[in-house]
Amino acid sequence: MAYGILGFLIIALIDLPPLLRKKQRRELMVFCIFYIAVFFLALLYAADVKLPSPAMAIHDFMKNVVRIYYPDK
Amino acid sequence: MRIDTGKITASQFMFSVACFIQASTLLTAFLSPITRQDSLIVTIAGSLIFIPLIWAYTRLMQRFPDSNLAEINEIVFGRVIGKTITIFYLVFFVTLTSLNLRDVDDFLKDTILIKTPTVVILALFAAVCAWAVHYGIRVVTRYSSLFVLIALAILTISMLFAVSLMKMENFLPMLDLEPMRYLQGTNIIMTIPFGELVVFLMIGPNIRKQKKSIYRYWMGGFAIGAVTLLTVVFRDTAVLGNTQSLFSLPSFETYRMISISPALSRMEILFAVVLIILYFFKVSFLYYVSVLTAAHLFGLKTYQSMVLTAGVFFVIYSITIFTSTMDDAGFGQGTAPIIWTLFEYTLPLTTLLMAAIRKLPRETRTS
Repeated sequence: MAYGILGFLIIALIDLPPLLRKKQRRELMVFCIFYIAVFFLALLYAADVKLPSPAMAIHDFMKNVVRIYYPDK
Repeated sequence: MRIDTGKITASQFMFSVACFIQASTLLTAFLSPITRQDSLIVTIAGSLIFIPLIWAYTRLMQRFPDSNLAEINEIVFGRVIGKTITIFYLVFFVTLTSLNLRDVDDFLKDTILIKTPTVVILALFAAVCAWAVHYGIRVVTRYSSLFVLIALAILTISMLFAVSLMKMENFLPMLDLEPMRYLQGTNIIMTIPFGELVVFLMIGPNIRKQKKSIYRYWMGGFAIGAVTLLTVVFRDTAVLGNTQSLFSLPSFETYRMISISPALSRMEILFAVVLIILYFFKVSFLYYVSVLTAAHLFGLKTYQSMVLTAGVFFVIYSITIFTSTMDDAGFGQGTAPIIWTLFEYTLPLTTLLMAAIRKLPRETRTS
């Protein structure tokens, strides 16, 4: 967990200063939203929370709802 | 507005296409349990059937020489539908990046770095890729020709040393499986190694003007990649025969069997080296295309600020995407070949058809 937080601090130290210096407001806003979202995702992963997989959701949807898939060999 | 103004030559583009396909040689493992000794037949069939798709991708690039796929979607389908389609493409690109990153981890964990934690392997690999992506398309594609040559050299060496292990009866019995298996195998070959070439539509405007001859470069890259893939499938079938369906990494087993002399064995290290090099290229390219698409979607002037955070996201996504290798194989063999057709065939062909019907792009025609 500590290494993860340190990693995120390093990312912020690398990416934030150029955005603030160049006053790129749109880039800054997108960066902050994305950064916070990924940070919480990383926290959930570090806390061993089972994260849902979009690929498996698609797989189950195709297999059980649409019923178009290649059967297992 | 061009986010990355870097330009690459048409030959760099050609070698990038070839390198991208060569990196997928590991993915023949999806094919071998389905078509076994007939894998070569479906690989040939898939390569030939895919040629019209190469033509369609070329036509899209020629029609819209100054637009990438995200911009083409907006020109052809309008702002709202175009952006919606681009969101789906973004999910597709991000998933491809994470799946390929996961393949690197699966390979390294199975063969070389058995006790190293997954997150360490993925974080380090993603960090190296992020470094290349930060500097743009020129750096991502700069060494593609060298990578292709290294891959071809190692493949040639492996073919020479594996000749004594090859048995032509390993290809028998031919055409003895249920027809559905051939359909599935051809679909896998067309969607997983070849269809993923749709990502190159995102870098169309970055290729130095070669509007008329771009088809030659597309086909050149495709031919190099397809011949490599065919050679790998031929070699693995000739050496392993039906047993290749038992291995998760048939090519790795082939290299393992090669022993030139008691002092010169363990050739699998060559396979490991070339695979890591090729995967570095493929993951970097997919990573670049993903952040470029996201930057385009959010209307950003640069994508560099998203690179590192996106890397963390790819690492988490690739770890959590499947809970087991069985899930991975089930998705790769059962669902991906069907879902991917939407992004690789249906949408590009529909876009081309719509552009032809609406006589787009209008500005180019009138000027």
